[in-house]
Amino acid sequence: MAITGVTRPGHAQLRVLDLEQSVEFYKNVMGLVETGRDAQGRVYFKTWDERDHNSLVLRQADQAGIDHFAFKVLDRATLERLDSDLRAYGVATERRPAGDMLGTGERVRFEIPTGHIIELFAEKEFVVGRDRLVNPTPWTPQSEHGIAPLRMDHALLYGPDIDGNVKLFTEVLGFTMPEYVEHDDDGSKIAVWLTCSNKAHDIAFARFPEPGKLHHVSYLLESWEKVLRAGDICSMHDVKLDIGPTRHGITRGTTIYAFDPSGNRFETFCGGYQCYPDWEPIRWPLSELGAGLDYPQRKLHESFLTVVT
Amino acid sequence: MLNKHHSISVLDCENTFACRDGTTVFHALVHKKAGGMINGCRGGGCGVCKIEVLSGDYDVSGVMSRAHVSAEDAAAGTVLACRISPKSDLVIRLRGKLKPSSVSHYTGQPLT
Ligand code: FES
Ligand SMILES: [Fe+2]
Repeated sequence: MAITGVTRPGHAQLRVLDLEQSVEFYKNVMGLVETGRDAQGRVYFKTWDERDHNSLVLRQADQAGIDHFAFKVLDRATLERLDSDLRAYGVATERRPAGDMLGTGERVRFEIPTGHIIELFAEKEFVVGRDRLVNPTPWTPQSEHGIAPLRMDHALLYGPDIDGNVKLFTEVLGFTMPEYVEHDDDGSKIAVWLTCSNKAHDIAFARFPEPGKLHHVSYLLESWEKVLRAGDICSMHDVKLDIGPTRHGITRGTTIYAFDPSGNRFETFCGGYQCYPDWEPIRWPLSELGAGLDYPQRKLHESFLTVVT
Repeated sequence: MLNKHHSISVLDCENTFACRDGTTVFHALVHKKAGGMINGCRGGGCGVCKIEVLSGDYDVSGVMSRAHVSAEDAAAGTVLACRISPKSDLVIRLRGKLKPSSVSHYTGQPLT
């Protein structure tokens, strides 16, 4: 698929309980690059390999969780078109002016049926040296510092009306659904994986009684070896692991789930498959969710279903 | 004083276990699988480890999300077990999403 419309995840803005402790974690354990701090005190990061100014924004707050998750769209015309498509569909949208977030153009924001705030933007400042654009080296000192993922890849969010999300993301925003988990008895959807590209997922949702919850923000690594290295780095820094290292049956990615210092879960993962929009979605009955989550152990870890921020 | 142990009594499961000085109560709970506790976030964010301390003294080792513990709660001894460590023997009750009988098997019903 030519990548048009909504092109990719842009950034996640997370709430953290202790800003400096979190900055230390994301800089030196996750190995992200700090790209700025704004007048509100928010701190901005990108991975060593990302070109856009930021993919993670931290905001000090008295509770953990996610403020919003944003996608980059192709251009300004696309942003205007999607805004009017959303309104025509019945979604109330708001604008945030360019510069409200450092290095970031005007944003269109709206609430989705699971209670999360999603944003779209078309422009973000490129922060990339000439040395990365002409005759670049395959790795750099920064790519070896901490976990050092390639990119912020996707998020899994929990909330009540995931059916409403599927309808909105597929009918208005041009996503497709490569995989889903459904209830064995009544066929209702328990979790869905959605993509705007040919990644197995750019965002995923699971049904949960409370709205607006964060399950995890995920970072892409280059190899399974690097996933194991991420596990070592977590252990060396007393980072709390949740699940893994293992492999998901769903999306086939190799993975570790762990928690940042405020209890926001993150994932470091590698692999999975490329998919195409004409593919029939893969169905997982809920009774097989254990295999979907942790294929080698076929284990439905309880924390997967209960621990969110 | 190194390695001094305090005893933590969990009323819900009539279980008592040891928690070392400087270790969080949640760490000790998970370690002993007391009351079927699960892996929480251990960062004061998710609230699954909420407990009520009925007696005993403790240190607070980090910030607790206000989504789960209000200032009044904290003052009255309702805290997140991953954010306190004992200074004396404690008597506690589990107050989080998870109860001692906490599901070991997901039934497919939306979680409540
Ligand atoms: S384990 Fe998440 S708040 Fe304590
Ligand atoms: Fe993931």
